[in-house]
Amino acid sequence: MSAKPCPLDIQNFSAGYGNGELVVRDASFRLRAGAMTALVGPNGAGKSTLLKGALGLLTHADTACVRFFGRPLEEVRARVAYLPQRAEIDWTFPASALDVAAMGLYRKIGFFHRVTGRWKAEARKALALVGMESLENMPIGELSGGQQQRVLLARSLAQGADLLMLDEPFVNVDFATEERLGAVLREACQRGMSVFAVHHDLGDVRRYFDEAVLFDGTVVAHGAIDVALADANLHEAFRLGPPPEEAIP
Amino acid sequence: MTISLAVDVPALIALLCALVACGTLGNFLVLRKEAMTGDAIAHSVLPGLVAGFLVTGTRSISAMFIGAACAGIASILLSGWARRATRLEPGAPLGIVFTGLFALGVVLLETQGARQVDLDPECVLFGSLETLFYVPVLDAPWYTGVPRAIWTLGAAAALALMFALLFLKELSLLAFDPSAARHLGVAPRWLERAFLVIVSASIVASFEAVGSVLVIGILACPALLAAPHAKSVKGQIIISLAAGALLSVLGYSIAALAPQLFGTPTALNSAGMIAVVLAIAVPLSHALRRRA
Repeated sequence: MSAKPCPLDIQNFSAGYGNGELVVRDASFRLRAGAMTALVGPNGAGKSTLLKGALGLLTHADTACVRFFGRPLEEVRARVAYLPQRAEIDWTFPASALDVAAMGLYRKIGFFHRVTGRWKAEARKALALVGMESLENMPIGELSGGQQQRVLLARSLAQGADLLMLDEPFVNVDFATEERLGAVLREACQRGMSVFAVHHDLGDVRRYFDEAVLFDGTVVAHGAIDVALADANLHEAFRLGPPPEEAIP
Repeated sequence: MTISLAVDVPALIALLCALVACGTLGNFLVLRKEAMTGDAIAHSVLPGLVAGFLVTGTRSISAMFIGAACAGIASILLSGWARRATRLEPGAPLGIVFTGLFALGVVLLETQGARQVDLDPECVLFGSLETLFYVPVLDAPWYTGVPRAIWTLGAAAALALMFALLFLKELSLLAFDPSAARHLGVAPRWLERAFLVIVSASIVASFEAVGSVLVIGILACPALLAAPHAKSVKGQIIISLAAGALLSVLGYSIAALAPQLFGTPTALNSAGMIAVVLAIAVPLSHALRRRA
């Protein structure tokens, strides 16, 4: 039996914006298939830039250093889903929960074809997987923050993605919603999906994730949570100086 | 008020074609929070008009159209480049580029011996709806008397409507979640460019008949007044075009009737009055939604 291919393999990857300044420098890590991995680091460390750069959404990113499932993104685009930060989406948009879930199918539907009943049935199935089937006709603007995130997750499931890349999925949702979202992501992993999410709250990384990439413009540490987020690594990433026991001569 | 086949019907047809051409795609501009793009293109066409005259030495419609379309596209490409290069918020590069191009147009007009181009400011601002007459030609088919502007606007309206229908889901996703649209490959760069080129063509085609004020008005106002009531993108387009058509006819009628009611001999400019009616309708529509 062959091992599952690595969902995301980044080697010596750099990315930045038009002004020439590199926000991500020489980053290297490999995600474990079927795991929930958190991308953790201080504000402004370039976590979102890393995600967007790897997905080819920035003009200044060396995407040749990035492999998804052992291949360039172009060959496996449908297997990779991306959920941006909430602020990047227009939640006043005139669309229902079902319309948004069906957006994940647009690539399969292709140009010049309409979203017919068959595709709507598939979108409905995806909504059911995240427990949103009863709200399929609700305008997305009238859903709560957590419900909106679940609809976006349904869009990724409808897409048939094997790797889910999320940018701060737990921001601006209450504790109960966070728990629900975490459970939905865990179920997705149990179905064979891998999850890679930017996460800002160090306090609850262990609650939801199996592994972590500690990031500060480049990879400071990567591995199981206890290893990656060891005190010495956190002090280095958050520039807090050496941990107390090392500071005392 | 009696409707004249020779005067009112051509003006109303031109008006409705301009509404379909600009208003359909204006929905996507509004959904993308880029309503200013229409304003920018409408201002940027001036150097194109002057350049068209300078290169050909005539005011022929094809020279003007090509010049204006090139300037419109240049403004979009330049502002896109400025946005990527500077990381400014989306409206800022557009503001820089369109004021720059408009100023270039004025400089060209003043310095290159093009003042005799006769770019009447009133015509540029308010168009020429009142001069679109249907003049039947004896012993010739009926369509020979149809003003040229109507054919141009009809083609622009058909192109805009067809483009919106063919790429409805792709343009919708691009407006809702541009990162996902690009990542999924459903909104390739050519589609975004084609969209802006057709927006430019619609603006340029409408410019002569309805003027820059109403072009900006029909790009943004119908979509803005439909937005609070729509539950889908298709629904928003239908509401915007239906409401835009009703309000345009209302504005046209007010322009025709108001002078008679008040006993003044001067006529009101139709395009200007329609723009006023549309502008008033937007806040009323939002207030209506809040009350419901």
